Amino acid sequence: MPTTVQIPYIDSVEFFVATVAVGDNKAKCRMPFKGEVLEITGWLATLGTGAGTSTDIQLRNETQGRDLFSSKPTFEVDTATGLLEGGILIASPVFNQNDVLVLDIDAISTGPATMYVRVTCRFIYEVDV
Amino acid sequence: MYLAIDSIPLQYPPMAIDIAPVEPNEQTLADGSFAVTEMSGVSIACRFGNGQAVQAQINELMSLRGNYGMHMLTFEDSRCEQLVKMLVYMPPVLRTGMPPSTRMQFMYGEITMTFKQFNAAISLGHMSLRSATVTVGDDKMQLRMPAAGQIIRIDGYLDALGAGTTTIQVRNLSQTKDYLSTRGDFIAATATGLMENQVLAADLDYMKDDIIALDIDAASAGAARLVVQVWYKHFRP
Repeated sequence: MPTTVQIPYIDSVEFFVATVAVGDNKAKCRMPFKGEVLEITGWLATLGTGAGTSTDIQLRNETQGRDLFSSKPTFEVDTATGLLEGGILIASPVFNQNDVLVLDIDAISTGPATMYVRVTCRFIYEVDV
Repeated sequence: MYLAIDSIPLQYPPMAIDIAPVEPNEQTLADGSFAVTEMSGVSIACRFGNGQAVQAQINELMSLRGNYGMHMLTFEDSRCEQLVKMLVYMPPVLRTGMPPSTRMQFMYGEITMTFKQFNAAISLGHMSLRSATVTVGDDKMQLRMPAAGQIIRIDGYLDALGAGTTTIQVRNLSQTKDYLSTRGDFIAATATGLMENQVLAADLDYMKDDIIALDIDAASAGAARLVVQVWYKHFRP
């Protein structure tokens, strides 16, 4: 009977959205192995305008039908960095192999464009020996 | 006893093979403190002789080693009845008449060659091959591999599917081989944007400095913003 060796490692997957508008499924990634989300970072090349407004995103496990952030990460116009801020992960942001993670845009400021989001995960690579 | 180097059995096999754990590395650090580093792996001491021509044994070991230290060793452990295969470092084989190395000993008509198990670090990761505009053609993006390894998965996403099917291939330019025996498709009718139908080829290895390229073999009208993810494991330094 083969033995399954689990090799945990950390890697990031990228989501890119050229045209930033409110809506679901703006970008997708099918996860190669099971694991959990550790962190999310991002950059909005054109932050847009509107004092006090933000572009809000959500990372959703489409396969399991659940959001991975209890508090959404945002790109804040007032901060003016273009960097993704905030975001609180749910208690168990895990995913199975072949689960599809999707990026939703739930709100935008005025005129944002070109969004890069990196999701850092701990993957569990399994191999039978 | 049976011994093979890179799957080539020795004509002059050893008369004994002893396996021992590698001793911990002990050293005094710059601040005077003492540090012990546990070393992984084992050493495999192969003793040759037993009346066979020593020069012939040395010649065979030199021939099999060549100018490269890393080899795949297959041997019969005296404590079990199965063949053991492992990646090892083989020290240089000296000619007779020269002072013996610390790893190869020459005494009383016998020579002892000590192989050291090599545990290469494994690095898992992925690279993204991208093409903003999706048109038919080879080498839409290339990346040079920083270390030898093996591809373990190929997947991807096409943001704008267009009206038909977009088909891709991932190819090793340096070795002239494809990594998908069945190419990956992005099918507008499925509407997921995710790659479908891809089947990995049997040979998924790559060497350090090999160039990996993305080919688009068919492009759907209106398709745009393609990303192909190649997941790999580097297993050699």
